[in-house]
Amino acid sequence: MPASSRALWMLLLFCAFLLAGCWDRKAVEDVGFVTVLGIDQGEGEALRITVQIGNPRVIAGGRQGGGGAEGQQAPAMVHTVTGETLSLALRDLETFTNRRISLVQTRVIILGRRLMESGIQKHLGMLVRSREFRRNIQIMVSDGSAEQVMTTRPTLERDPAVFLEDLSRRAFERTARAPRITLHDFLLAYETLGEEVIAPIIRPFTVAPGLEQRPEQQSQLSGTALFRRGTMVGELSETETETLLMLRGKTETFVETVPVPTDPGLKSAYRLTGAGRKIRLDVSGPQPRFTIEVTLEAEALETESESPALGDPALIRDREARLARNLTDKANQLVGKLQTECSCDALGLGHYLRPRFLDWTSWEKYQWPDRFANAKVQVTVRVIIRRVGMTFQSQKAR
Amino acid sequence: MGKQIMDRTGAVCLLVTILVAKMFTPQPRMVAEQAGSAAWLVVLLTGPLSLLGYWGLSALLVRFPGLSIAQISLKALGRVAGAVVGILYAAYFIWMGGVMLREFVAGFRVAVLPSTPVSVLAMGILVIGLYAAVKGPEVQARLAAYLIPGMAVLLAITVVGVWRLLDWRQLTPVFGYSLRNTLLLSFPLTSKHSEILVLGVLAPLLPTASVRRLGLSALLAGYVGQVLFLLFLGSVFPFPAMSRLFYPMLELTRMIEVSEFIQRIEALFIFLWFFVAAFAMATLITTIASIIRDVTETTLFNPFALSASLLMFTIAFIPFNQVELMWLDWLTLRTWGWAFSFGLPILTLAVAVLRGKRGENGETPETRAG
Repeated sequence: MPASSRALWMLLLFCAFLLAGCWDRKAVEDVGFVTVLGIDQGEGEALRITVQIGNPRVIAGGRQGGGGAEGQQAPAMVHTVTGETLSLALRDLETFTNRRISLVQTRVIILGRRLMESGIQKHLGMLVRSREFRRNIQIMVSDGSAEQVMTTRPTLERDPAVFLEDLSRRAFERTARAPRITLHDFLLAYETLGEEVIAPIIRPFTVAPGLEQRPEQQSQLSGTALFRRGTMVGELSETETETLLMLRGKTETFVETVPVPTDPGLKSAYRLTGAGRKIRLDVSGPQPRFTIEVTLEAEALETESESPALGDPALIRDREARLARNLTDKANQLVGKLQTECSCDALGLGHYLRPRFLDWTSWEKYQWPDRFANAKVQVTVRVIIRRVGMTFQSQKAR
Repeated sequence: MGKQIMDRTGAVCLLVTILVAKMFTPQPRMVAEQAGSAAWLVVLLTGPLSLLGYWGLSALLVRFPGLSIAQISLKALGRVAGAVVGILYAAYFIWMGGVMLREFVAGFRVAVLPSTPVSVLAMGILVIGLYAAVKGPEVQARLAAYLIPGMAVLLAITVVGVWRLLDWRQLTPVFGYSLRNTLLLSFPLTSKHSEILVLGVLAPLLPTASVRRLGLSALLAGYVGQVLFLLFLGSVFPFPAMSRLFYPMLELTRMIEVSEFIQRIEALFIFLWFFVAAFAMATLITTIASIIRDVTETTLFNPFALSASLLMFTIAFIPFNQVELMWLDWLTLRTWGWAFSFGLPILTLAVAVLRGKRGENGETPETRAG
């Protein structure tokens, strides 16, 4: 290739690099990134959409310990609009914000309880269709309106989206008091007929007045929203959620207390960690019979009793049996509630039954969601106490 | 394009790339829509049938050593019938190129560059494809030898990144809609391997003795790759979810998350996607131009390559929308592709046997070895 041609090609290549920035230009300062999206039932058929638009300058400044003018600004702006559909409401947002609204950074979607009680099917459309939504967005159901939850400002975190995301992770991993559900989980549960949709519940929560002598409104993740065929039909408390996650084999860790045998007024606390779950299925009878075997490992955290010492292996066996019995009772109560009160397979047992069917038509005809209430479910919990902490013995009463 | 001897590994990589390029298009979705949860099983069942079809193609190439599929058609069927068959091959690849081009660019438009005109994207891919086509299949084979490991590494990253979402139970009920539907679908879906016909164009550039083995290796690698890919995809997106996603592969890469450290890395895959698209176009342009050159018995290549690109560009814009595009793909390529890739070579072989036609020196590698 002659030198002149080579130079021309190089020039064209160089231009391509420079001009690429002009094509589809989207400067960050022109875009309003919605980090949290709330969807509530509005008047009549309308939707109330609340968006939290992050202010990157303030969030970044806060993280780096910056102050100045940015320190006075809110880290996120919250706007609420009403529209017949989600896309119409989002379009209306752009009539009073000078930024192009973008959902590519949305991390959390909060769905209002009233909306969920009227069914989720018609609102899933945009969440699946729009390229801006990712399937790993966290989904939460608000007890009350999503708008109410989104107007609370976290104290220790500047970015409300990061706060909610971290809260979701901690509530799931450290306490098991709320499930962690992504849009992907939500859609799969809705579509595959193997389980019913569940979602964590986020509630406005008033923190007791501290040194500043003023109560603060915060958000708390606790409990589980239960759905049946895409409509919210009930909820589980925090402790029921712990049991639900244990039965689903999703437990990371949670704390369980049992009365001290020698003095039922006193309690012992153990940290439990999921160590395995097996589901056996017997379809020989008229109704499927599921046997759920859960294994948990425990670590003694505290005991209010002064004796006896946990150094005795026989005593350890006794505590393991008591813990297991306690958890089995809770599990049976939960299964009873799921079967009788809302007929909702939140345990995902349908996924274990579906492989027994050879084709989709027969699986659909079987109508598992309707049959779940009559299925036989037996739970066996095994607890192994592995550690007792830094001491065998509690302090003696003086 | 001069006569070149291709690197064997490169040739296999080239064929495998064109066979598996479909995973970046909406084809997994189409299979899931038709077969339900048995999408992987349908493709698994296409294996024996496509091997049968491949036997016809490879037997033909071995019977006429050193000749391309279009030259063989002329020789075995006579000038008129041979030219018609050659043009049918070219038309099939032009249609395939047009549809694939539109599928690639529609995906880019929906998922990555929403405000870029699809014509700009199509031109971008075609220009790169045309350049590679003009450089010849030998260059493409060398490029494919780099592309395949790249694809393998990125797929491995995807598997690790979405490992937590895999659940084999999502692949049930095992027979999808019904066993009958699964079995019936496996026949037309043999077309999923129809790109192996490209071997018919590469054959003159390969050592005759290894043509059959090279093609078989590529077919098997592409087949296993496609089955594994659908198994993997179906374990993450069970039916009916997969049947509703236009670009399951892209959705998959968007979900890669390894704790908080590895997130949002789909941009890596966009590059790969673009290059695979351009590579597929290059291979198809080369194939079309070579077939027309052989049918017309000229030595011209570049003008035919340019014409093929223009035709593919035109065809790519025949469907008015994404839905029509899917519909056309299913109705033509996926339903009747086998007739071109396996049916025509078997027919040609049958006529050649009946008419006692053989290669120029009247001997095949087998007879030479014997």
